[in-house]
Amino acid sequence: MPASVFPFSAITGQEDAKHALLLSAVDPSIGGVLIFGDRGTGKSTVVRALAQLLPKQKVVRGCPYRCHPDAVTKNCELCRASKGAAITRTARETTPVVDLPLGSTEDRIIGTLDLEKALTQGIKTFQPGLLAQANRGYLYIDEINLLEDHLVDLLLDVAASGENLVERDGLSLRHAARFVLVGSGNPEEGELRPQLLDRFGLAIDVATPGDIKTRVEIVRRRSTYDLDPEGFVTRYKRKDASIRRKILSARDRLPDVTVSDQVIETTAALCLKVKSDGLRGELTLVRAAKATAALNGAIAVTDAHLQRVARMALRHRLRRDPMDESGSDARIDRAVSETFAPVPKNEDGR
Amino acid sequence: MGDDGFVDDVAAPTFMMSPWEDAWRVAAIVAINTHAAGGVIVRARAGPVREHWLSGLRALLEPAGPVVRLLPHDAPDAVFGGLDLAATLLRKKPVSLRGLVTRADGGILTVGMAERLPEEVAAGLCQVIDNGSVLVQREGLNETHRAQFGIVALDESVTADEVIANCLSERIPAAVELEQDGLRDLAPCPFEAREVAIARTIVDDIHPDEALIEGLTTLGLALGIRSLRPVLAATWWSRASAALGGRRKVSDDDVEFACRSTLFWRATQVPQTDHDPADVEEPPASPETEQESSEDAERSQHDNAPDEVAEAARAHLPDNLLELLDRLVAQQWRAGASGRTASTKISMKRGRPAGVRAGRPGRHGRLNIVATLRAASPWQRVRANSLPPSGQRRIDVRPDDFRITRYREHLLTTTIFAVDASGSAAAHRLAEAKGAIELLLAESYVRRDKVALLAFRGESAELLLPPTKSVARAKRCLSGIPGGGGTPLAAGLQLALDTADIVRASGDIPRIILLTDGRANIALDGSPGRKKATADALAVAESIGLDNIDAMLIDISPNPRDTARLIAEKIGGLYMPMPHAGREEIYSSISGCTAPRRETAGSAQRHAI
Repeated sequence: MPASVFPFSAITGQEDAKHALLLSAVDPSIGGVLIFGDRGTGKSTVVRALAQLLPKQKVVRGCPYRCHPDAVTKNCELCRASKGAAITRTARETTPVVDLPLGSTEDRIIGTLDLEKALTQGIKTFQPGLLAQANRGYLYIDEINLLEDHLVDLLLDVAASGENLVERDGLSLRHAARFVLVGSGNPEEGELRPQLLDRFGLAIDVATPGDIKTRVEIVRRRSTYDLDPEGFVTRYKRKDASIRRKILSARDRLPDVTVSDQVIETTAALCLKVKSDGLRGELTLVRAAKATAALNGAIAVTDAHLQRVARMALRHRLRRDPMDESGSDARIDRAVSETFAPVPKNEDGR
Repeated sequence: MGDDGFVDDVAAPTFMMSPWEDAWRVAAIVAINTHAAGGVIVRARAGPVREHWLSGLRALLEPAGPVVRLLPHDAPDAVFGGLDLAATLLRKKPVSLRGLVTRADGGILTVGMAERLPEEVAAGLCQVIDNGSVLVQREGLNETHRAQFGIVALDESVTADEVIANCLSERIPAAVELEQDGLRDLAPCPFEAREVAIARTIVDDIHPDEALIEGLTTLGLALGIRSLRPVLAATWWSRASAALGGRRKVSDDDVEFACRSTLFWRATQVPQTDHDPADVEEPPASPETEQESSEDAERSQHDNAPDEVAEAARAHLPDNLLELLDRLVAQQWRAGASGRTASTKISMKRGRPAGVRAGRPGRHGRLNIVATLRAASPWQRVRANSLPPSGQRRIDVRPDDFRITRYREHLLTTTIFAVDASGSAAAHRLAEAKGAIELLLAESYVRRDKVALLAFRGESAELLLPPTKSVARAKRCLSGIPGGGGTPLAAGLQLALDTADIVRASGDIPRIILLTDGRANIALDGSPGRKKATADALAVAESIGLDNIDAMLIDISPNPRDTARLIAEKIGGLYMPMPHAGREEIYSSISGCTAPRRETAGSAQRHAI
């Protein structure tokens, strides 16, 4: 990771990508976020900026899996072994956003025998891999469409089960690996298989902004940042902090946000209309709408919240309809406008 | 000069006259701060000309700054770092190998034959460039190293399908072409390391002003460069150029230089000139045409408050640049801007090596012995302890260590020509289009590519020639195309799409070349009416775009209009107005995407065909 990172609040445009990432910070169970789009749109900038923004989390000090002090017995052998002692040794650490570089090998992702220890002391110990590092945080893969297929399968499998199973070199253990998988890529370099697409909670389609004003603003901010990174970051510190507080209060509020039967029915109707595959779409749509409500400070999910997240929750789940030549976004929009009575734009419970 | 003969037949535009001046300036700017400059693509074949430039660059980097060379066949662990096999086996403990990117830190990474660089390595390089550091997560290693360098990508591509990976060329700001220079043109480097060192100290004090940022952003959009990276690069390059001249403020000359080295070569469209008739038409409102509308915005902004620097950048555009850009567009096509289809597939049996993975050898792939040994090597001492020794000085390999190689197969391309044979088109250009296709057929034959031919006129489209390698048949078919009647553009596009699907299903890569004037007047259902016909055509065009098929639209009308451009945009392909082109010009622009890049005495050969 570079020393300083372009601040989240200074990013111009990319509203959907930013919103999706914030949702995942509020409710990780929404699932991963896939950001696909043109080159030079700042896909990885958004993700790296998020890393700086995420609230700190309580962990058991020294635990390689970053266990939460209240949940030690469930999770890892190390913490279980130390029993109550662990709970007293807590620390507040930044939420990890772990980079998975393209050339990574399987053993480093899953974890493997600790070579140093094995060679110098002859002890068989487990050296946790990237999956362990990402536990309770994010795992970020840039150019995910170029990652070897068998690695993508592995990652999605672990992401779904929340657990990493290691069977290698005489080692056999399992540890918690709950993370939000964030993938970014450029469709020109190759598409992801549909069955992988569906595993991501939200999918974002980014494009370079076309209007000159936004573009000038982006270039201006970026070149200001490049000239004096520290000064620039300081200027946006307060804005970033306020977003961080928003995430925290949304997390608190989330359990109390109500979802009415009517909203669930609308969701089902919407999914039926766009012919999205499987139940996953409905579930994600409701969760994302709920998190949106929590972020906006609302107490109940409204149609406006559903509409805000409809595209990102469904666009990657549509079956290609040979009779319908329009793009998936257009199909969702059409379904949305058919499902909902026209809603004034700003009625989102604020 | 070997550049496809594009520049052969026209007087070279002014700034091409002293290429060495620019080439040296590019070198000096890269030397100022290799990482901030990003790097340069050098289009030249290996030889004394290129060596001359490279050694000049090296001299400017003195005394600091390593120059590290990367070649396409270098293994990923050599490039990014990994386990040192020999040392690990020898010392019986893991020894890591510093990757080339780490060794290039603070200097230059020269990529030889950059067009052959495997996709994975190119993408990995991009991550290193973005992060300024390399993360090694391989074979039990977990290390991060600083890796800030500039890339000098040596592009020696000969054919159009060998281009520098898109993600990488996107991150390399500048491009210089040294090809056209003979030995006698070699100019000595006018810059000295001392000047570069001074520039290095002042470049960060030169701040870009509003006008510069606005002008460059506007220009970027006008040239059809969607990404903002090149614009950011152009801003830095303007500043660096000023620093090189010892100026504290960016001058017009600096901006012009930055534009020609970092922006023009990426152009995907020709900026419309102010006297263009299209200008007067109503501004398009749909989001797909935001490009134009912002161009309009830019123009009006221009009229109201003539911005000095933007003016300087734009002053070039109308006259000599238009000609050049026509060619750049074709060049851009070759540079892979639109090359979206993967032209290879992963195979376990044959092709170019495409990576190694864990797995059992046999049906799934061939055993890669070196990779297998590498996987096994760190475990030797442990295994020696855990099992009774199986003899001395042997390497203990377990099934877990097996690594197999996968290969990448090259796929064939099928070019589908969709020819507008309607009355409006036939009157103008049908004969010329036919001639151009004929020339291209011969080319396809040489490349073992297939061609298909379809024409649309009257009320429907007809597939005259299903995908074939037979040039003779194609020629016969072509000469038999009658002209006249309505323009069922939608039907033509639909048939092209269907044909492309068939081509894809057979495992080949489809590529559509559409020759039309865009004036549709027959709808998909055969009913006349311009409005519905155009809407239908746009809808089908969009589905071609959604299918990610490589496509190109050649506007054969004498007065290009927006509809054809819009259709090209929907298709997601290149738009090429050919208002005054003859068959040679049409041919040369098409061959930009299919023909071998550098042929000697191109025109002469073509006539011979």
